[in-house]
Amino acid sequence: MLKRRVSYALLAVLMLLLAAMAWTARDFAKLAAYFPITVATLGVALAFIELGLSRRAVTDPPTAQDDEEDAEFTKHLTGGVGYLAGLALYLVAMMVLGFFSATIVYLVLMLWKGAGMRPVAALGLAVAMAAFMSMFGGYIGLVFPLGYLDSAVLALFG
Amino acid sequence: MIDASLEALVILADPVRLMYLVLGVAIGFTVGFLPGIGGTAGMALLLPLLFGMDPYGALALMIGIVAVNNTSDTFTSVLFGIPGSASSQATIMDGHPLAQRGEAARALSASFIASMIGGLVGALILLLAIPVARPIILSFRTPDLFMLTLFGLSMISLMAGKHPLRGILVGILGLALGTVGGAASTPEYRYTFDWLYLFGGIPLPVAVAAFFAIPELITFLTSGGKIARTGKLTGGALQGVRDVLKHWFLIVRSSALGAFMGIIPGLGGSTVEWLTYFLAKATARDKSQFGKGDIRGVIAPESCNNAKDGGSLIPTLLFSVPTSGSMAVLLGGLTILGVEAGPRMVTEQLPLTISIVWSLALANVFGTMLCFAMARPISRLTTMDANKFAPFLIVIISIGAYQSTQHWGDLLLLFGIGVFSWILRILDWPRIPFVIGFVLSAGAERYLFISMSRYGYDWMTRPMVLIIGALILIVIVAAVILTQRGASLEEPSMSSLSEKSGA
Repeated sequence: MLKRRVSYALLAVLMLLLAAMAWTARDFAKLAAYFPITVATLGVALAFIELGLSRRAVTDPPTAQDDEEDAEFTKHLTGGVGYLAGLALYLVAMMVLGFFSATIVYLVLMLWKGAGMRPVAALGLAVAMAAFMSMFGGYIGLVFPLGYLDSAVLALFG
Repeated sequence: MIDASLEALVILADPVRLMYLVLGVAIGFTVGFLPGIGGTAGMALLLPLLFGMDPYGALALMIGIVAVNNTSDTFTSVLFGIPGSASSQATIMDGHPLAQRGEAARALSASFIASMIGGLVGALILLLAIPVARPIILSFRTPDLFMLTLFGLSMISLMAGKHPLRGILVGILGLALGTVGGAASTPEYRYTFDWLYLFGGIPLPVAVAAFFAIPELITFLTSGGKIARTGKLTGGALQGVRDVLKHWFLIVRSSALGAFMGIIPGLGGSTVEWLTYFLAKATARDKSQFGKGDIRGVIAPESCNNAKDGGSLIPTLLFSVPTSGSMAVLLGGLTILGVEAGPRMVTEQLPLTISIVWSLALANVFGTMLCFAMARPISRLTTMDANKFAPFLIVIISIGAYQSTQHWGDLLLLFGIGVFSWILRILDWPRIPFVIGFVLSAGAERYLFISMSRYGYDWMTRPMVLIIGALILIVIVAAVILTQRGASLEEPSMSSLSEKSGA
């Protein structure tokens, strides 16, 4: 039931988002507004229909299959939020500290706390990955965000 | 044509381009035997890195992934009864029973060689299709191209699974988000919130990586555990080679069937594979061993699913009509490389198109060699913990996404769109329609604008427009019928993923 309700809520959010896009498009020049207004309005109409069709799925009593699906959904929801928070912190750290420092910290924590590796082994793999990315990335012309820490380390070693 | 073929071969023979092909094969091989990741996510991983790359090398890289993914997904199907991807489900029927009775090496070697032959047949059919399709494509005008774009969009209805409206809605969201940034017709910027980063629109590599790779990896981490418990492989590889020689006609028939069915958009790898499997069973004199470990039940679907790629490339490259998720990502890759799929692929870009045929053929040969070489270590690798390799892939995706504009906005969008797509993933909503909508959005708007400017409303009465319009209607009706009959989805559901992950 939880999964169905979240799905229903997502439908409503999508409808509102598309409605907002259609509303905003009114201010564009005529030629620039035509396509987004058509697409977004069509989306709002379809979302509205789907909301109507799914209504019974939300109000009907839960079945055994719903309970199974809810258990699976809850497991992924609760577990996934933690990993996504880790990813968010990694991306912020990449901009603030720099790609190499953030990557080493992220990989060490994921391999140590997540995969249960020994900290020294995790550190070794993380440094190896950073070194590989530096060499391979340099070869194919990748650009790395250099935050405060990476810049300071680079400045230290000239 | 022959000149272009030779030119393409010479270009592809460059060591750096061959290295990219081998790299693509290695990546395709890896994502193939890791259940739950798949070729679409594998290609999405690399998409951000394609910026500024040589188109021949970049396409060799992408084709390498597509071609081999369907060969290496056999490992888990045969050894552990877990489909490596949606298109290796039928292989389990007889491949796993063969492994259970100690003939895993026989099943694997027969499957690898059948896959290679299938891939080569697919490449040949793609090559033969180019001169046939050329005069048809060159007769197309802008309104016809607009209708073809709509035809591509109608594929959404076939890939939307059991909730077609939700699939179409996600596709429409893709179309709507594709309008962010500069308008095609006037110098106006839309939905940018005065943020300079969005003036160029949402970068395609970021959107695709966020939409496919991030949710798959997070789900993989959440499912946790190992892919399989044991990694045992016994002898009998030579018997597999003998089986292939004995059933050569079955391989040729299944490959040809796979390539032709690959042309039909929206059929999906699993549908095509199951059809070939049932056909092999129906035409066999002795059916008693099917489902219990008949080698023909491995050979037929494996030759078919590799041949399908050659067929799928025909509508994707020549008509901009992606027939599957990985083809939609490939189309996105072409856009990033500045190559426009469609008529130009058989005129100015003919050597590039033929290089794809060569890449497909070579990738199948390399992939088969790699599968044979790696059979034993792989059987042990599948027991590895998901937590040990997923973080490395996340690092690659993140830095890859940053290459799009080298702005922090890339990372912000990667996370935001990634979270949204992850929610769709755990709610079992279809996601492939988003990429189709997003990739085709700019083209649809531009072609419509040109058609209206040049022809007014008269463009709607052009014969080709009417023919393609009828085709669109057929696709939509077929989608409705397939949905009512509960046809299989292109994307696996969360529950099936958990089963596959062994969680």
